[in-house]
Amino acid sequence: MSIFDDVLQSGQFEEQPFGPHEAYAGILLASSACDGHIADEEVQGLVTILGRTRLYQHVTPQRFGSMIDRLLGVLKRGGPEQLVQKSVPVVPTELKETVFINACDIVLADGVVENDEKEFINDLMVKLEIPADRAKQIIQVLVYKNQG
Amino acid sequence: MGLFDSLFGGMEGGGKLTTQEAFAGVLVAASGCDGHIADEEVNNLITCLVRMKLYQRVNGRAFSQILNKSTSILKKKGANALVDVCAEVLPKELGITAFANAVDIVLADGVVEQDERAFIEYLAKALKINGDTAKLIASVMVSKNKG
Repeated sequence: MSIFDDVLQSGQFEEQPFGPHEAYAGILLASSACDGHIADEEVQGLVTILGRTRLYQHVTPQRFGSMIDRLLGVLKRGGPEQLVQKSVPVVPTELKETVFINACDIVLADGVVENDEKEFINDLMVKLEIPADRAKQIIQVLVYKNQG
Repeated sequence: MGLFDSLFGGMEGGGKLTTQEAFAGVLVAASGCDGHIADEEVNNLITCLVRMKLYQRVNGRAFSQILNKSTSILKKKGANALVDVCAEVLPKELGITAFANAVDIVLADGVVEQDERAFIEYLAKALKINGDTAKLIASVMVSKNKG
C-alpha cells in the first residue's frame, strides 16, 4: 500500500481522459516527435500552429500551457505511439482529415521524410480512417507545399 | 524627363525580381489581397519563408529587404500587379509551391472573402497551374484550415 492511497480517495489527482483539445494537439505533437526527438523550436512552432486554430480560441493561455505540459509528459513516458493511441478515439469526426493534413505538413516541413516518419504517417492514416486515395492526394499537395 | 532621373538611375526599385523576391512576393500578395496585412499574417509569412531551403543563406537584413520590395509593389500597384511581376520570374516547380502556400495563407483565418476568391483564381492563371491541380490544392487547404 502506498502512502497516497488514504489521502487520494476522491480520484481528483487521477489521470483524466483526453478531450478534443488534447487529442488534436496530441496528434500534432506526436508528429513533431515521430523522428525520435523534438526540439524546443518544434514545440514553439506547434504552439503557433495551435494558437491560430479556432478549436483553442476560448482556451486561456494558462490552460493551454498546462495541456501542452501534460501532452509532453505522455510523450516522454510513452512515446508518440501512446500519444496517438490516446488521442485518436477523441478526435471529432469532422476534424480527422484536418488533423491528418496538419500532421503530414509538420512531418514534411523540413523537406526530408525519414523511414520512421513514413511509418508514422501510414499508421496515422489507418487509425484516423482516412481513405488511401485521399491520403495520397493530401501527401501530393503537401509535397508541393514543402518542396521549396 | 525628370530633374533627378540621371542621379537616381541606379537606385530605383524597378527591374526583374530575383527568385527569392518572386516567391516571397506571391505570399505577400496572398496576405494582402483582402486590402490589408495583419501583424499575425506577416508573422505567418516569415515562419513559412525562413524554413525554406530557398532562403537558407539569406541573412536578416537581406530578408527584410526582400519583404520590403514586395510590400512596396503591393502598396503602389496592388496584389494582382505584384503577382504578375512575380509570375514572370518564378520557375515552374516553385510556382506550384508558391500557389499551395498562398492558398494556405488566404484560408488561414477560416474565412474566404470574395476578393480572396478572385485572387486565388487570378494567381492560378498567372502561375499557369492546371485547373485540376489548383482544385486539388484548394480542397486540401480548405480541409487543413477547418480546425
